[in-house]
Amino acid sequence: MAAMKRDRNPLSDDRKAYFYLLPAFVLLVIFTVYPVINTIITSVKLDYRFLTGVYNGFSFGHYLDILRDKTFQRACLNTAFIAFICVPASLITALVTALLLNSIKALRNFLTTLYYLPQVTNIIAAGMVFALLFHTNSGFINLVLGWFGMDPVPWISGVGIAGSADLYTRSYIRCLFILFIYSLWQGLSLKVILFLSGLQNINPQYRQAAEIDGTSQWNIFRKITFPLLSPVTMYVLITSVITALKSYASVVALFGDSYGPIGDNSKMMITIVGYIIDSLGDYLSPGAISKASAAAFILLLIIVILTALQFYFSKKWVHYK
Amino acid sequence: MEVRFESVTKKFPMKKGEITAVNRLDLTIDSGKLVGLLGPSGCGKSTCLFMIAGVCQPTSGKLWFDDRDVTTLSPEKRGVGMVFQNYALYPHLTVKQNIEFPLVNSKEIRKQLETKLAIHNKTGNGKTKLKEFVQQEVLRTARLVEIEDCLDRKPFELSGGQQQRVAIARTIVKQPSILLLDEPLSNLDARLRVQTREEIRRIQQMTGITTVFVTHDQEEALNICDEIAIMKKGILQQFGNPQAVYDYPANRFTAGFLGGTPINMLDGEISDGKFIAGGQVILPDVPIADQPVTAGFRPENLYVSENGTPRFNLEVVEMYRHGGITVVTTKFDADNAIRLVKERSDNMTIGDRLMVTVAPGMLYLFDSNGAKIWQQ
Repeated sequence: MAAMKRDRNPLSDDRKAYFYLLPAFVLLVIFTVYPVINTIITSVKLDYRFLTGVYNGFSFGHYLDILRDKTFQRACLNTAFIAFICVPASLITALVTALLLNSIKALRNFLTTLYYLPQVTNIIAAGMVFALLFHTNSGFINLVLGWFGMDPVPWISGVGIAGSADLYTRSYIRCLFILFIYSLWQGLSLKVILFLSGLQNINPQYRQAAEIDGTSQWNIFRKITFPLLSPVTMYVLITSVITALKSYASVVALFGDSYGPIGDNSKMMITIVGYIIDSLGDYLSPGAISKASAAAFILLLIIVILTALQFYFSKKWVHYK
Repeated sequence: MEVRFESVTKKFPMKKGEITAVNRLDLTIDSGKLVGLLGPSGCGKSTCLFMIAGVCQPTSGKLWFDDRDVTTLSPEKRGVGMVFQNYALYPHLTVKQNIEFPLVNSKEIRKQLETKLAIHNKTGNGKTKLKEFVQQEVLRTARLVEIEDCLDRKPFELSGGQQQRVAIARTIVKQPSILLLDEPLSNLDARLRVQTREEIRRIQQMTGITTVFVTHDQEEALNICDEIAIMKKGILQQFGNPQAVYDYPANRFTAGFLGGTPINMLDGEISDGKFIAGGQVILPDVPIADQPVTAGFRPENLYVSENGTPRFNLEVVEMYRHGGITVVTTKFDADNAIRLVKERSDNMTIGDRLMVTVAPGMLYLFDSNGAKIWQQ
């Protein structure tokens, strides 16, 4: 009987489905589709005043301004550093850690919990602790270095950098190093968990079969474990790169909301999202919101293009079956 | 190659205490034989296989390949090939890549291949390269197991039987001196199982590899093995030619474990040299001391006869036709049923009374510990 009813009125079932989808769909339109479209439109309004809504026609000038802006270029460089240096490093470290955890039995659960801790720690709080660790006079890192007779390193210091390109570069490299260590530690947690669960999903008989056939551990990893893990790797890579491209909280936590050590006025460690937020903060000046919108749209484009590229190349190395 | 277990014990640590998977096993598997390790789940048969493969090592005792002590030798140095229960075909590689995997990844096998290639080129005056030679070996093996048409497919595109044959090909391509099969047929349907077990027998005989075959299915073991070893709770119960083990079980366990239709067991006692069950004298003249015993006799060894010894007076209560045979269930007394297996049952109906006897030599008496103390 139920089947006959469905046959008689197939549309009513469809309507029901649409009806149930409606709440999610409405939210998606209000909070995702509309903002994206509005951002694109806002980004091309000239001299747009946020409070009055007045603007003088349309122009792509903001895009050109942004691309020429030294601060935006720095933001791109820093964001690229996180996405293309820190993420791969943390990916490899996570994979190695997961392989090690997977090969031990004792303490595995304890260590896994330990590795997961950064995930449940507040980013700002953790960043501030890192900043303290690297403090020049009272930081733990310099304390340890002192045990080995080394002089304290001014880790986050902008003394004299405004006047000296050499000092600026050195300070920048030190800050990048701190950001690298922080990203590595922060990013490890979720990646280790994902890799570990991926590894545990691989049937141990593949390894046994390969071992009986005299395959070296390296070849087992290269030819069996890694290909079988590739869907997880792909997922971790894509989500980590997207997260990295949207980094903001970590640099603010480490270096403050001026994005650099005290004494720096170039926003040394700014990221693209930082740039957008700074522009938004200036919302009273004409065109500031448009500039932020343009930068946001550029970021969106970068994310979409990079993700598409990763999917395209993934066909060569990801095995889904 | 001969495989010899010398008082081998394997214990696995558990959360509480440990479990003895194999207990003081002494077993010699002759070179070139197809031997079945048989037993219920958890009897230690797979552990034996893994110890031969080197995937796990004995807790005590020694394992020998011919005169070589391999007890602690690593798996890759043993020259052993193993087919896993679920085949363990690498899912991301094609059939061809799966079969060539051991050839291109093992240094030992590569060395052997290079030597073989040198001889091949010398005698044939050819100049085959190693890569071509590997391909030739892959193709030759694929032909042997008849999967040469599927070389470029992925394992998931194959049927269970084909996957099974790829697994065998991947194992024998490196020409192991011992072939190990772990429940190789349990994932196949009934028809394919019969076909594949004959295939395994054929390949084994063609290659002459010493083969050890683990199964819980007695029919598989009885059909293709030269010898079977029956295990229970880590202890070897009996080892020998399948028919001999079937006809001359060492104890109650092996008698009960083998046989398509379960063996009949009849509890009784020996008193004054007579075997008495259900108040009747079944056997008048048994040369053993008075004690409680259990008689065992196989359903297919029973036949209708007015004057045999022993003689059972039975009432037919149930008849089931199983394909070519009929299983007749009869009542001996209120507590005991006896089953007969007949090829035909045209002249029987439920309620009939039969006089039945056991084929000569086919009645076993077991003592209260399950050991066989007498066979008629």
